[in-house]
Amino acid sequence: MKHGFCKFVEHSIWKYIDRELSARNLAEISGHLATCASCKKLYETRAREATMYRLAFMGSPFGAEFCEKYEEAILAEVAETPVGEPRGEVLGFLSRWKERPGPVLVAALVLAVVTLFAMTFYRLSIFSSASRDGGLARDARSVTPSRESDASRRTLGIRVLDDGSEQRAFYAGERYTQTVNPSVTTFQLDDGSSLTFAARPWELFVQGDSGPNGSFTARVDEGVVDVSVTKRAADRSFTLQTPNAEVRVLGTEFTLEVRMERGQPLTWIEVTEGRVRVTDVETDRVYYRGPDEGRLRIPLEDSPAAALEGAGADDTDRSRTRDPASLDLDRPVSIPR
Amino acid sequence: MTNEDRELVQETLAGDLEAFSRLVRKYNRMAGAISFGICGDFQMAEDIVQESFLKAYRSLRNLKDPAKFKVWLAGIVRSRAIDFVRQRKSFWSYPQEGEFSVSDLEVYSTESVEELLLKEEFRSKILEAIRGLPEEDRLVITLKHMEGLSYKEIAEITGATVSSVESRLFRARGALRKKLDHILK
Repeated sequence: MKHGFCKFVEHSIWKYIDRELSARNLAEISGHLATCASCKKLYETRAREATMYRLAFMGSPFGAEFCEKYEEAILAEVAETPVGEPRGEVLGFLSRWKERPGPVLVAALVLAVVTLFAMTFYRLSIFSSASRDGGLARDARSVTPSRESDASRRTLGIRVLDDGSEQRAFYAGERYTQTVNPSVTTFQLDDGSSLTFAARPWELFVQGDSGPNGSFTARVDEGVVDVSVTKRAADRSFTLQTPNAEVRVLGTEFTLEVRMERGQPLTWIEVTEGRVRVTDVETDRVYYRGPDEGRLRIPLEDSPAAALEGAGADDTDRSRTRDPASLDLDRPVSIPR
Repeated sequence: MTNEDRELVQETLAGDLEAFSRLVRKYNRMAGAISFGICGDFQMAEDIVQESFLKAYRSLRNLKDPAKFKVWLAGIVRSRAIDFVRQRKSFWSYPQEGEFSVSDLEVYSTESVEELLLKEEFRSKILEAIRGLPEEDRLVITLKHMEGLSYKEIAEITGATVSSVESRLFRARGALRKKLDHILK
C-alpha cells in the first residue's frame, strides 16, 4: 500500500514537472523524491515524456526561422498600409470592381438576400421567444426598448466557447443563457474586459453600453462568472447586476456567483484585484470589497462576520468581528438615490 | 512585459516599423503554437501567423489596452486558424484519434529519447500523435510544450479556466502516453 504522500506525489507529478505548485510543495516533493524509489521512477518517466514532447517541437518553423523567412515580407506589406487603417480583402476586392464587376454584383446580391433573411429570422425569433418564455423576453425588451429596432443592434464584443467551436458577436439588449451541456464561455468586450462563465448553467442579460467610451451594464441571473475589467475612467462605469445586488467597478478582477435558495436570490462576490462597490438593492446599502477580504454575501446574514463565508472567515476576519472599529469595509453606507 | 508591449504598440502606432518588427519576433512562436495547436499543420500555421500579424497591424487602433497586445493577438490567431480549418475541412481532414499507429516506432526503442529525437522521422511520429489529439487538447499541449507557457498564460490565451487547462493537459498527456507507449518504456 502506498504512503499517503506518495499518493499526493502521484496526483501532483505533472504540476511538479510544470512548476505549477507552491514553493513549499515543490520543496516537499523534491525531498520525497530523494528518498522514495517508486515516486522517483514515476517522476523520471513523466519527465522523459515532457522532454520528448518539447524536443518534438524543435523542428517547428517558428522563432528565428520564421523571422528569417517572413519578417521582411510582413514589414514590406505593412509598410504600404497606414497602421490601424483597414485595408482588408473586402476593401481591396471592392476597389477592383470595375475590372471584375461580375463577382462584386454576385456578392452584393448574396449579401442582400442574407440580410433580408437575417432580418426576417431575427424578428421571428424575438416574437417566438416572447411567447415561449414571456417573462424573460418581455424583461429584455422592457429594459432596452430600443432593442425592438434592428438598427440599434450593436456589437459589444465576441463570445467564445472554451473549445473554440464558437466565436460570435454579442449585442446590447440581448439575453444569453446556457442550460444544456454547459462549457466555459467568455464574453470579450472590445475594450479588453471579459466575463468568463464557469461550465454550469448561467443566464446573462446584456443591458448595454452607451458607446465605445461609455458605460457597460449587464445582469447575471444565475451562474458563476469570473470578471476582468480593464481600468476605466470614473465616468465609464462597469456594472454587473444580480436580482438582489449591483456591483460597480472601475478596473478590477472578481468572481460573482448567483443562485436561488428557497426562492430567494443569493449573490456572492469575491475580489482578486482592485476594488468593487456593491449595493444591496433590497436595502440600498453599499459595501466595498477588495482582495483578501473573503467573499461578500448579499443579503448579509445576521452579523457582519457571517457575511464572510468559508475560507474567507479566517483569523483576520474573526478579529475584525471582535473589533467593531475595524469593520469599516462591511459597514453599510447610505447613499442618496 | 506588458509595459514593454504597451510601448511597442504605441511606437508602432506612431509609425515605427521596427517596433512592430519586435512584436513579430517576440510573439511569432506563441502565434505559431496557437495556430499549429488548432490546425495541426506547420505550413498552414505559417500562413495563419503571417496573416494574423498583418490583421493585427491593420486593426491596431482597435486595441483599447496596448498592454494586452499578447492576449489580443492570440484572439486574432485563434480566429484566423479556426477560419482556415473550416475552409480546408471540405477537402482535407487531419488524422483522427485512433487512426495513428505507433507499431513502427518499436524499432527505435533501444535508443535514448534525446538520440531518437534527433531523427526527423521520429519527431514527425511524435508530432503525428499530437496531431491526432482532439483540437482543444492539441492546443494546450502545443502551448505547453512548444512555447512553455504556464497554465495561467494558456488559460488567458484559450479563454478557459486554469483548472480546465490543467485537466485538458492531463487528459492529452494520458492519450499521448497510450499512443506512444512502445517508445516511452
